[in-house]
Amino acid sequence: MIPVPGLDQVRIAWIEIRAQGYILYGFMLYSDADTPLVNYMQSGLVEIDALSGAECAIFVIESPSAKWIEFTRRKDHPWWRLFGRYLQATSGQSSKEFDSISNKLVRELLKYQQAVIVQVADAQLVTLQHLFAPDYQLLYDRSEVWSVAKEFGIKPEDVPCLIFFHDLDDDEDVTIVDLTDLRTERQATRYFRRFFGSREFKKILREARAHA
Amino acid sequence: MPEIYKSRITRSFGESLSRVKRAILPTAILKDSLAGWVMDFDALETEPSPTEFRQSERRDDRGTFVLMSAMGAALQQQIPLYFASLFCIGRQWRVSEIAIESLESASSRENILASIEATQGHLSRLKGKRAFLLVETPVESFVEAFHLIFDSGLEHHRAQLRQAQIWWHGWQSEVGNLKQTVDACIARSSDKGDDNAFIEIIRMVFKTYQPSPLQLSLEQGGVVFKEPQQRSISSRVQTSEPMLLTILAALTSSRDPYYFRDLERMFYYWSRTISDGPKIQIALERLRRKYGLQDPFEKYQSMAHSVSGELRKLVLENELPDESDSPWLMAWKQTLEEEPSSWEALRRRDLRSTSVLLSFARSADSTIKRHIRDTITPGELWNEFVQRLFEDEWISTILAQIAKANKESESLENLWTVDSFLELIKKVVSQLRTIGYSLDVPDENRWRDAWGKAHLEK
Repeated sequence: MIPVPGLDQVRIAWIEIRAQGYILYGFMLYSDADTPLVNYMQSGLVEIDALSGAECAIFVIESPSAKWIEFTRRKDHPWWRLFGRYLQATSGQSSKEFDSISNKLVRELLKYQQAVIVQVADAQLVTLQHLFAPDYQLLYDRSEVWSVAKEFGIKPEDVPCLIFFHDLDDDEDVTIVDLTDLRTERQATRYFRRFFGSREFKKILREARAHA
Repeated sequence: MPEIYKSRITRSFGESLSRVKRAILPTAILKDSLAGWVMDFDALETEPSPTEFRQSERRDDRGTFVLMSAMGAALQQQIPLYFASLFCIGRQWRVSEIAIESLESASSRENILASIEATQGHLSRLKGKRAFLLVETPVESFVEAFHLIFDSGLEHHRAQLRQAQIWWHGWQSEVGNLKQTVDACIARSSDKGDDNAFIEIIRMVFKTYQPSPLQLSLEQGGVVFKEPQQRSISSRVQTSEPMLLTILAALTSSRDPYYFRDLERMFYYWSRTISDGPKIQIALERLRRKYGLQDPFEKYQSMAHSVSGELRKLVLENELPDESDSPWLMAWKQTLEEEPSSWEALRRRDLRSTSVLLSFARSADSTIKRHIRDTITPGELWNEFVQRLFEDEWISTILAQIAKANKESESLENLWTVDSFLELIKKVVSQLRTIGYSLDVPDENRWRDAWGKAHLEK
């Protein structure tokens, strides 16, 4: 697993690691609105790294959310001044300012921001975290997915997916693994465990060895 | 097992990624020529080749060769920073724009009610007493809480957008200066006796050893950059040490028989770099804490408000210890009109048109603002100072432009007359008074004399 801070860093990371014996590369294409994958990536990086084996490197845009909140607290960043006071109040530093029912509720909703669902348009639901602490390096939502999916020869509705390629500079077919059915973090965990042990993945690896 | 299939892409995966990177930047950045210069930068093209070095037999040729290599090495260290910051700025800009749109839409009562229903449904599946208590909360309290949250979210993203735009102006200013230096050095490098290229390159090389105001401002905003030696946008290039190359260039210089002058200059800039770095960092941190989410110059956009002592104080506190501008000041200057240049001719305009007069007034207002930190002479009152800026910096230049146009004009109909010039001044004064200036209509006799002199000059 190769966490990179942004899309512009994939090439640099690829150049740095390609001499280390990898024959197959993957790129996880998803948007910040694909909540199950976003959440899975916060904790599942190490597991995917182990599951994908020594010959396969998967690039994933690393999520700065947790680090970001800590940074804003330390630096007294404007974000912290807006939201941190609520989060801080949850750790027992409550004051009169937070005594009203609405303020208490705000505090709780912010605490559960991954579980708070917000409708931003007809039938378009996102989490509060997506609206408040978005990952700038990921595609933001479906509108951005729409503009980039065609570059990989896929339809927007096929994102999120895992794209396998052999060489960044070769004109060749890529293999797409559909991840659109992942609805929860737990499903994602189960799916990746099964996928990297499957015949399908072994076949992709065999093709990569032949290519190498 | 979910579907696995092959897809044919029309180019390499790397090229596709590169196109994706551009597709997710704001249009203003995509269309900018400086952004194009940085994104398409090829490190290999900036350095002369070793063959050229072998072919340059004369000592001054070799000096120029090493100097150009120093410039190439300095660029290789600076461009990756501007490349990375372009994406940070662009993404913050674009994502905040979309998030603002989403939050505005989410704030409608219909969407809030749908959000409450979806959230309560989701929370009821979670374990824990607190989540359970949330589900039991009355709907109207939820509505109020969602409004509070969305309003804070909007405030946050609007500030993020404003900050990204300030950074963008700072980026344009720094990269614009860098490109100007590179272009000038390349043009001058063929002139062996030209000292300016050497000085400009020394300045550029030393800038690689100190963080730029933009970088410091981005870092204070939470952006983490790699160390300079870790930055590279191409594996094909082995980065050279620009300082070493500059010393070599000074030693091989034939412009000064003892080459001490070049070395002296180098050490002057080096000592400035060492002493100014920490001071700039402290100054920027202080400004960030002072301004927080606000843009201190917002009130003073072109034709929004007249100049004041507060503006002068703001400009002075936004000048950094190395005499460069803070990102807030850079961004503000970018919003002002360019100063008129006496080298250009100003063709006669219809002074009955309100939009023409507004355009002249905007130009005068921007010129006064650009000079607001000029020295106030002892005993000079504030109104006298502003009047002097208006007359000496703006009217004089406009008069020079008019005289040039009159001399070049082939038709009598297009000539400006002294009366039309005086009418223009009166009307501009009246426009500027509407935004708070206390300007007097300048002395007519003085400007009639100036008119005569300007038309006599060749």
